Amino acid sequence: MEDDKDTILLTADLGWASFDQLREKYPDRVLNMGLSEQAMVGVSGGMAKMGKNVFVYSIIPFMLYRAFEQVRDDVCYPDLPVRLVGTGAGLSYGDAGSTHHPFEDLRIAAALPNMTVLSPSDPKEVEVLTEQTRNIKHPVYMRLGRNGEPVLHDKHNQIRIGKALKLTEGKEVLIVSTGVVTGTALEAARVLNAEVLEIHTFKPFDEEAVRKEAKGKSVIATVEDCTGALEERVAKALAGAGSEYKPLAFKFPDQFTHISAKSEYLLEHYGISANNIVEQVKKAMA
Amino acid sequence: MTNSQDLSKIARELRKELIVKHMQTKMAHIGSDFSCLNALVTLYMKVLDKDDRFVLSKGHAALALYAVLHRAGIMSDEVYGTLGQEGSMLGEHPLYGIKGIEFATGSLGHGLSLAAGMALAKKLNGEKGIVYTLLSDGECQEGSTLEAMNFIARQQLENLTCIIDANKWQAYDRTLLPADKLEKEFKGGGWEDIRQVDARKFDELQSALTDPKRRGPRLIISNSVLAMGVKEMEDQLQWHYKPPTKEQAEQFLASLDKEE
Ligand SMILES: [Mg+2]
Repeated sequence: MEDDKDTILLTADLGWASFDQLREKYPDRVLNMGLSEQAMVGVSGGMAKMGKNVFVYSIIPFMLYRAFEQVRDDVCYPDLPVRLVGTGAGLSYGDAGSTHHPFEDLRIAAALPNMTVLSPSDPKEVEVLTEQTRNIKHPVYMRLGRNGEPVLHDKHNQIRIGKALKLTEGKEVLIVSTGVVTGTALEAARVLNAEVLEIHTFKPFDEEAVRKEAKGKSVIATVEDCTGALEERVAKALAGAGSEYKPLAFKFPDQFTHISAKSEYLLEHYGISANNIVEQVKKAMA
Repeated sequence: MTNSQDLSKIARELRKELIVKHMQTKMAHIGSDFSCLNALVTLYMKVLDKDDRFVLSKGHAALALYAVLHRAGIMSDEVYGTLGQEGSMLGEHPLYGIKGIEFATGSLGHGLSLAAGMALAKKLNGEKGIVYTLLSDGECQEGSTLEAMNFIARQQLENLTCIIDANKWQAYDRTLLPADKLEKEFKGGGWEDIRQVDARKFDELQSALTDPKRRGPRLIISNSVLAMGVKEMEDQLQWHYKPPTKEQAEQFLASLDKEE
């Protein structure tokens, strides 16, 4: 925000401890909109129309779902450079419960014309991708984990919006992953000597990379914290590509959570764990 | 000719034009066009200058806006002439990308937030000019309108003027938020500069819109009537939906001619 006086951050009553310093430094440009997500997104459209670079921040369901029509009509339709940054991707809000679990957001955000959808896996990716969004004069949605996720790899200098990122090499098994569960994919890949292809940009989707990396693989697994958005997108990319492979999907089922637990427990409960991935992949290869 | 006779003549001509347009295109919402037409004519003929911006929040009055933009020379004959043709940009609600129209409104409850964002950006940029927006009385029931109303008061956006076209109807019933209730609602939210005007009186509209003594964001409740200006049509909910038939159009045009 230092070097760009046109950068504005709007938050819907969130950011305690994380935005405090920023707000102290730029009181005019870091605004708490209060619990008013619809007005926040509408205001972001009005400001972007007047040339401001606006970041909008909230917990994903409150921002993307409650204010969906504002996202659609006030930001995406006029194709304005608003960055919608949501926290709590997938199950990362754990025992906060299903109201806080956006397991449909990838599909919902990607359904909107003009939208770029970013699903980074670690805090350094968030930094690099945010920096690269400066060049995107269109709406961007970025889904974050909850906070304090570990840095997962050292390939951040290879990140380009719109390009899949190869994190590990492998011959027989390809794991395509997105978001914070990429850590789980990497853990499984170490045991399986699998290739991990990370999709930090869900839209536009790098079909070419998926097709290229799928060549010669006997098992292709998808790992996500959504209800099959990645699984379906990968299947579409590979449809008609002539690859013969066994597909495996590690994802959240088409249901709401009825158990309260930390996200690690929930992910494991729904089979999104390194152990389960290793076991299922080995079974598929046998 | 006085100022308001001048505006009244323009508004009468545009009403005639719109009767024909609605009859020809079979588009709905002529009642909403007419209830806010005087406010739009005043804005575009006497108020808006190059530093100002306008957002039509009640997007269903788009045909009134097209007619006024055309009359003001902002919309070309060529574009205006496409109204009703397949493939035209000029929808029953404005599409995005029409010269002179800021946003694609039509879903109610968006305009006040958009105008607030524009006004806030202008304020931060140190730019001159006022952002005007025109709402229906019905859309003040939207939570998003109330969110924006509160936000604007908290930010004290003195460069924003909100006009509410209080035409006493909404799509299915008499308005649930009559003018006095609206006034209370905004007052409670922290708006101080509130005026109620008679939408038939151009001088009242103009002075409320242009009075330079501002006390924060300004609210103008424009007390109008659905389908205002054509006696045979006034205050009937059918004109929220139906375009006039050829026979009706002739009758309404004759009625307007008699007034001249
Ligand atoms: Mg009304």
